[in-house]
Amino acid sequence: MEYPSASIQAMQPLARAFGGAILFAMPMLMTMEMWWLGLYMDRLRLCLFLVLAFPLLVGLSYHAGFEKTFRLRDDVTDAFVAYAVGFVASGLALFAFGVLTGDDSPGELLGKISLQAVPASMGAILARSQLGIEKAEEREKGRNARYAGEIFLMGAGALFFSFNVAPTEEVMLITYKIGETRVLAIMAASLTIMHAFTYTLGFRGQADPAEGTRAVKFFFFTVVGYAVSFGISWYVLWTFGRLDGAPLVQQVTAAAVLGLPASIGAAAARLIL
Amino acid sequence: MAARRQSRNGQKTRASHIIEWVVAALGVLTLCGSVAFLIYTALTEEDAPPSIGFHTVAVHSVSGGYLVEVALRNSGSQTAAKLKIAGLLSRDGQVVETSEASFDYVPSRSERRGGLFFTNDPRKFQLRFQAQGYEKP
Repeated sequence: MEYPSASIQAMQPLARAFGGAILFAMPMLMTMEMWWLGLYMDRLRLCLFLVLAFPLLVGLSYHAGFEKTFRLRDDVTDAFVAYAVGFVASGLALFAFGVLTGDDSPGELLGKISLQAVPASMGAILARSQLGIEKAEEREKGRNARYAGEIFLMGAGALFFSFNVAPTEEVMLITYKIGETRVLAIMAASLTIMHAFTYTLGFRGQADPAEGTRAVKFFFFTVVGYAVSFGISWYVLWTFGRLDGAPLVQQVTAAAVLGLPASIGAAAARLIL
Repeated sequence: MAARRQSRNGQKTRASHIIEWVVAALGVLTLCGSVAFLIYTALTEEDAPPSIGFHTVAVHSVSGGYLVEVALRNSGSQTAAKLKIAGLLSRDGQVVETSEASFDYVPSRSERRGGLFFTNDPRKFQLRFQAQGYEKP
């Protein structure tokens, strides 16, 4: 056969999305805290997380989607496709691991799968631009829109990366052990690493050093990006119920601890996407 | 060949268009369904503490004694973590033997299974189960 048949052709973007979902979600699918969180975490917080995931997927589709999209309607369709793929991929993987059993209640099943479906669907959306041959052409965007887009991608990277770490016990354990001095050091390190990732280490896709002065770049990208990462870390920890009953200083510390991987994820996302 | 050329140009074939719409509809259904289900659960479920019910699944003879397979069901709306349970063998009100087990998680409205080992034959005694304590996750 010279060329794949039309039906195989038609399935290809879906298969690629599926591959992306599995690739991105695998570390979380194999983390037991994620399974437990899916069953016991606060239902309304899980619900809010799913609701917020939708604009995130639409935005990701717009900026780095697995289909060339030119209209909002296409981005919305892509987001739903990605969610379906992420949901099915997570469900299949958890079933294959024996995590989902017949003794589970519907609420338990839904909780376990839908929590994983969010990172999986992020993977599904990104699969096209990262694994595929084609890459969406840069659209004509205004300067402000481009800046907002970059901050958005940093936020998505922060969310994804912090999601790998946030469910584990270690984040809270480090929070209890770290102490004030080291927290400040970790925050400084996060900022330094972020700035280095984006401007000085010479990675592919790095920002053009010509645009803007050093101080301006540091403020508008690194500091703002860190603030976004910090906020997202806080939100993720709250969603998982890790901050319940903790005093404010502990909440800030925990967000700063998780902010380290989150900010690295944010910086990396800017380069990769 | 036409299909291939088209997809290279970033145009969608008719088949891929239909598949995409079907999958997107599935996505609408799962996402909206999940959100609706979660809201419904959150609103209707009263915050009832874990309530553990037991039933014996089977009793086996094993090397060195006997094994009671037990199923526990949490009918409360809260999950019990690190749940400790005990099985007691008694005769005429006198406890002859106790055996303990612990469960990492017994989620609300779900069933979990485990086993308790005894040296005496549980079939010849009165067997009862007891939930001892848990941690709120």
